[in-house]
Amino acid sequence: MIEQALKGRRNYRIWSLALLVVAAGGVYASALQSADGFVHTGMGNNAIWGLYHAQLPFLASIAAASLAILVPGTLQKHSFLASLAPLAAFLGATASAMSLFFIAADLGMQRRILTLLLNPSPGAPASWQVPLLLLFLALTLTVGWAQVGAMRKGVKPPVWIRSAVMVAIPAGIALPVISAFTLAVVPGSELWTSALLAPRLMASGVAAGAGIMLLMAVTAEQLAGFKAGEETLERLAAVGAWAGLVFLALTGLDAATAMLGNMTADTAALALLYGNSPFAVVSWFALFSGTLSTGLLLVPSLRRSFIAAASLGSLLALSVWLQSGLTLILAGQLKDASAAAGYAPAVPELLLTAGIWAGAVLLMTVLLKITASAQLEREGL
Amino acid sequence: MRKRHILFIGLLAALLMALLFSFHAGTEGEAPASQAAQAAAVDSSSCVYPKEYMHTHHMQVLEDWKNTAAHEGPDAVHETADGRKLQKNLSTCLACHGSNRYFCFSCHAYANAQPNCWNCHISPLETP
Amino acid sequence: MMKNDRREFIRKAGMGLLAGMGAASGLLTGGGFERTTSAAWAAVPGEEGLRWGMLFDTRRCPEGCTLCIESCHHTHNVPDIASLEGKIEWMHKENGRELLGSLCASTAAVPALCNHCAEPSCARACPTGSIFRRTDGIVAIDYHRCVGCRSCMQSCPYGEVSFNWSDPRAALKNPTVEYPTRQRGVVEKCNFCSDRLVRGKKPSCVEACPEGAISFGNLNDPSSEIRRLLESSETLQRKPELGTRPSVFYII
Repeated sequence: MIEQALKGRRNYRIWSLALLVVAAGGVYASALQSADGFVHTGMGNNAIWGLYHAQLPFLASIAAASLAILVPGTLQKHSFLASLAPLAAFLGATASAMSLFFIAADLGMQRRILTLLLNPSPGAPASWQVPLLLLFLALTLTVGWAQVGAMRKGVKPPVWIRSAVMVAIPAGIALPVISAFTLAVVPGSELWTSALLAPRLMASGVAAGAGIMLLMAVTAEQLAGFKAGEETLERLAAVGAWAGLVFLALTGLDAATAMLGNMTADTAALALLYGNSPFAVVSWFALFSGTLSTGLLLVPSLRRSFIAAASLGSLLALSVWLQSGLTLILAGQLKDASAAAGYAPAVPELLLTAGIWAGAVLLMTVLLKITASAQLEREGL
Repeated sequence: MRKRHILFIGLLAALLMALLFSFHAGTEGEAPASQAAQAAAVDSSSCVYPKEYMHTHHMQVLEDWKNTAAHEGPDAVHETADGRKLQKNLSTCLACHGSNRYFCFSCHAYANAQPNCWNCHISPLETP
Repeated sequence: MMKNDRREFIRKAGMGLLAGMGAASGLLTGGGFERTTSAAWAAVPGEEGLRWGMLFDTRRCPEGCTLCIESCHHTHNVPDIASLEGKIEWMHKENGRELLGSLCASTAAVPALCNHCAEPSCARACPTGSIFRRTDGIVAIDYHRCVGCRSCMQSCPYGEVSFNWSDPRAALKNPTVEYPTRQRGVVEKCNFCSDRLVRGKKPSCVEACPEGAISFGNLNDPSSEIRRLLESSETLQRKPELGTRPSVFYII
């Protein structure tokens, strides 16, 4: 199967090469950082966490969201989502691999990385992150691979897949919960200590995950001849729209409680997020694009058009990335408005972040190509 | 079937509660604190272990001290076979061996061993 | 009949669960708030063992004097970094109103350091157990284990944890040989002079203060000097409402 990754048409090769170049930039930045530490980043006493850490809640939620497709796709008989199940498994694997890379990039003492596994402190939510991500990565990658293998041979997927998925359910659901809890241990950070953070991350993950899956499935359909089925894609778009609605509702409820209760610390945090911080523009853009894409995805005729659904899904995913990732961390860590001007990502930091993303997109492209070729091969028989 | 559901919910609740309690960050160790100020005085009239053992195993001894000393806090005391008590601290070693500035380095240079102790601890070579 | 039984069962089970949780919470939280009036100290059920604490009598703390800070930073090889973004501090002086809230009548600068909380939020954030509360109440860092994720720094509500963004040795002019430095990539903070306590000495800031404004002792010992002062005067803690139970007190 793996040989399919190396074969391909011109466009596939150019695309992969471009991604490789960006990933190589990331390797360079990473070497720079291991030599000189965080001096090449914009982080400092006023921005304790930066771009690296800002990816983590988003990626954890995406990993968990892959279960929304994977579980019905593998455990239910005749599920309309079965054709998307391998894609979902690979999405979960890619998101957890990315999380691990970003956690590693964010460590001041990278050569002590194994300490995270050897000396866990169970009372701290953060120590559950790496073991759970490793477990989820192993499970989803195996499940996806076994499914594609079965698809290629035109046989039923092996039965043990079901047990692997069953184990993956609690591990996957725990990812965004743990991610929210790692933020909840920070007293006085009102954006983070809300009990709604975990459900909000989960809903946003399903919305963004559906958006990304739409983009992936439609791209694979246009370029590699992968067939997910019209009805499947429409339902996927509906899943994204409803999850987006829940996410927006939870965000609104959080804000409304803070304002109606006149909880000054909470409203001050909201004012930093949407008002007097450099992130305000981003926050408003994210809120607006999220509302717009969710609203339009609720229109059935737009859901049925592949191109419209894929673009709206991508917009929704972008909005969630900004809200559950970037602004949540960067604005959430601000103690007051005077600290707000503290952070601007430096070039090596941007390179490393882009490098990890490019590596992930490359991995996803290869896995998608393998899936599409397996499907074509079966049809050719 | 229904009973099984109830059982499941109960189990889940129990699991959640166990998880919550595990999040209660307590004090490390259980023994009540000893009076730190009266803890072991530095007695370094002779080494922690016999010379021959230290030749081959000083790195294991130091590794053990490195891993345990901070967490044992006031109780980070090493008791030798003949009952002497020594603070688990690199400065306990240097109290004697620091008198020869090249004590560590002459061997390490010969064996091309590059321990990272001196990243933080100030080596006898750096002192005036 | 069946339905009623089930409803009854769920109701009872739920009540049992609630009762259990109530009892457990009563047992586990050791008196969330720590009042700082004398009456409250008497009312707190006595805790066993040792819990080091510090008390600043700010009435005796002269404006502009930084001897305690200088002594602390010199003893522990704290690098002197000028930039606000990279600054490392074990001890510093801040506006009293900002530090202690509106209860503090004075805006004069008062010293601040790690509070060595009885419920440290930093320890709950650390993924490797590298920052932890010792049996004598000191919140310590294992510099050999710290991976540099800065979770403790993020979660300390007092901002008392610093991170070595660059090599600290470069910013260290006259190091104290007996105490190690740190290296790039780990966090650091006040250790309540555990290195001196073990040798039977008082913390270096206490010794350095010419006015005797700093008291240090066992908070759990009713006969200690610090307890006597706590019981005879009105004191403040930093952000007591967070439930972290700081071990550092201030007389204004």
